[in-house]
Amino acid sequence: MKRWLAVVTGSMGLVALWALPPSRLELPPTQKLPARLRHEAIEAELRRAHAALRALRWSDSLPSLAIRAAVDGVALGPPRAESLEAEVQAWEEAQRATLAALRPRDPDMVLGVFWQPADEATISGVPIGVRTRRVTFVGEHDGTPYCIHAVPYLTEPGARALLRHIVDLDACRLYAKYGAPGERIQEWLDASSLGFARVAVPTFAADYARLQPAPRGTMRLFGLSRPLYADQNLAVQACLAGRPAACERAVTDPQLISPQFGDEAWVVANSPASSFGGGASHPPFGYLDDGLLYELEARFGAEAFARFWTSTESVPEAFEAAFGEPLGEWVLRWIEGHVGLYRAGPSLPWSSLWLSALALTALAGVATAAGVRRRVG
Amino acid sequence: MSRPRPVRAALAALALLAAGAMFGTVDAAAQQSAPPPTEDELLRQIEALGPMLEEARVAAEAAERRRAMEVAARPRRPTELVQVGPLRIVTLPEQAELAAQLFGDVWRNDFDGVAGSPALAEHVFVFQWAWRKVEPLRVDATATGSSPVQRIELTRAWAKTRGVARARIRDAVWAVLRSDIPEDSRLGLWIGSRGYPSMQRVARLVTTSPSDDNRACLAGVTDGCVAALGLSTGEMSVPPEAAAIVLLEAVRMGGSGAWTRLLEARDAAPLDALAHAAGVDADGVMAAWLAAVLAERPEMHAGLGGQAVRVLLWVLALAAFATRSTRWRLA
Repeated sequence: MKRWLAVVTGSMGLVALWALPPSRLELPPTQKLPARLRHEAIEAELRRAHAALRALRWSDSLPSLAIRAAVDGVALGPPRAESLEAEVQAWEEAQRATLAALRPRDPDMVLGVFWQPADEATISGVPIGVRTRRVTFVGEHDGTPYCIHAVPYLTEPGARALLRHIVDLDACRLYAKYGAPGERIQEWLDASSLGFARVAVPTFAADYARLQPAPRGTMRLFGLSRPLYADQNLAVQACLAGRPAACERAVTDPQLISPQFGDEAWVVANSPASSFGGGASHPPFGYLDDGLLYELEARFGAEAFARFWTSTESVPEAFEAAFGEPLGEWVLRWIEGHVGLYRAGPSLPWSSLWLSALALTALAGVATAAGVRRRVG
Repeated sequence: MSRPRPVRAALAALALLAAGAMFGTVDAAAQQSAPPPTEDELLRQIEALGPMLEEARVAAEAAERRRAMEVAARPRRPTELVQVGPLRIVTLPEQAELAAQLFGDVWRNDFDGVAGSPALAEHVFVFQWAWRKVEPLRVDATATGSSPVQRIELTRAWAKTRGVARARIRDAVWAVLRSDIPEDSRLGLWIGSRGYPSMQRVARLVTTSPSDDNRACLAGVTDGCVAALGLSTGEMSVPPEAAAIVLLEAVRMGGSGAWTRLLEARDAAPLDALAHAAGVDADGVMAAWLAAVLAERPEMHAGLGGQAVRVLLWVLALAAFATRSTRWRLA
């Protein structure tokens, strides 16, 4: 074998050794023992049951309180501490100003924001999940529809800091404006744990997509990269590959839009809580779809959005009737506009294929020309 | 007519699979449509789980004690204690120089000026960067006392470069420093529990975010920076990790005793705490932070041609091989 060939082959082997991950994963002996894993599993079950119990108890008392105490359809329950008087006043003014600016406004809908000590109605000494996450309750009490935020706080300094943050109504903003949704729309909202209305900013998806880091990893060496959300469900990936039917399924199938992580998913499925603020990203498109409904409202206007919101039809039919285009096609253009599409299948990008063909043709031309010259010479 | 035995077995297996699939589906459907548990049911569940949790906790602690005794019975590898600034590092003798270099780089570049941290004085860092499987080092208590341990034990299979090793060290040092600030203090609530930030990431996000506050800040308006960092309204328009950079810049400016002053003011408004630690006004702190972030702004170019160059390089490499064969030899 020629020396240069041996050097090149050896170098490539070294690069491969350096770049490839180990053939098997060896966890350090500090990994958890089975007995510890069992303890953690029982603790998780207990934590979730306790969180569901707290949500149930809060939902038993807060709606009737909100309806009794509401002034102009709004009930505010700030943290109870004298030292927070100034902050509470500023918070109440901000809340009332936000609500006063809402147009349109459904007169029947009662809104409530209640600050609750995190351990209110809990069992002392028992671990609890989603302890400090804001809870949203949506429903109807004695014929009056309501949307209530319950904000748990641990300490007065914590409440003081949080009072400056909690001024937005998130999902309740839509309820305040358009009232109770149609039954099937509400089922869809419930299935997603209000996941498409978490952030009341119409430009949220655009801002979020712009701030994503560029794809990383050794695959870039070969001009390949994995699509965003590659770890998600196949329907989501098919949507990203440009298939409208998959896009429709990705945003409507209850299995694909329900929260998947941690205590939140269990508590939402097993208690009256409709949603928890903050936390991990949700399917189908992670944080990207957190403001989807507000984006729709801003794009198509309040009148069309109200038609969609109050429709008694299924989500795809209501969408098409209200906004004039099929849901799947709109979602496809939406995701394409924010993160782009990718070509599904085990192939190289078109640009690589064309450039390869071009370069090979050029090199073949050079080789042919050199060969022809040699024969003539 | 009786079927051959393998065919019957296959049919039976298929029937079992179908039945299993059917029952599985029914179970899943029943689970989905099941009403949420009532308060009594939840209370019963909690009461039943309480003793089980206690029993599992006792069993887990016993198992961990047994393992600790097994580990303690193994022969101890010799270790060396290295001191870099206030950092105490336990490592293998052959990696002592490497540990001093890496920790020294991190300390000089990221934490220089932080002195008087009680948590740093208390903690010991255990460091190794192994070629093969990592065996956790046992710390000799005679040298370090009962100090809490922060481990940075890496394998080169995953942490391939010195940059990665430095980043892990930086995270560990920040985690220890962060523990000086109580989570429920005003300063603690503001900085959150994020890891040490990548300066380049923060710089990129600050300069590309469409927020008005960020733009004002980039134009040199102090109020814009204050708002962007959530120091006035609580809402941050820069990545939350940026708080760590401001905090360390303020401490760097404040020089001797700045960390202690910062901890003293942990329950004051965060901007006041930063100014108190830095010994300058808010303008000075914000200007220092902005300058530090902008100095790290990465050189970015549009990705035009990058892929084309990679394709061309691969084609040229393959063509070079091809031209060495008899059929395509050019010379």
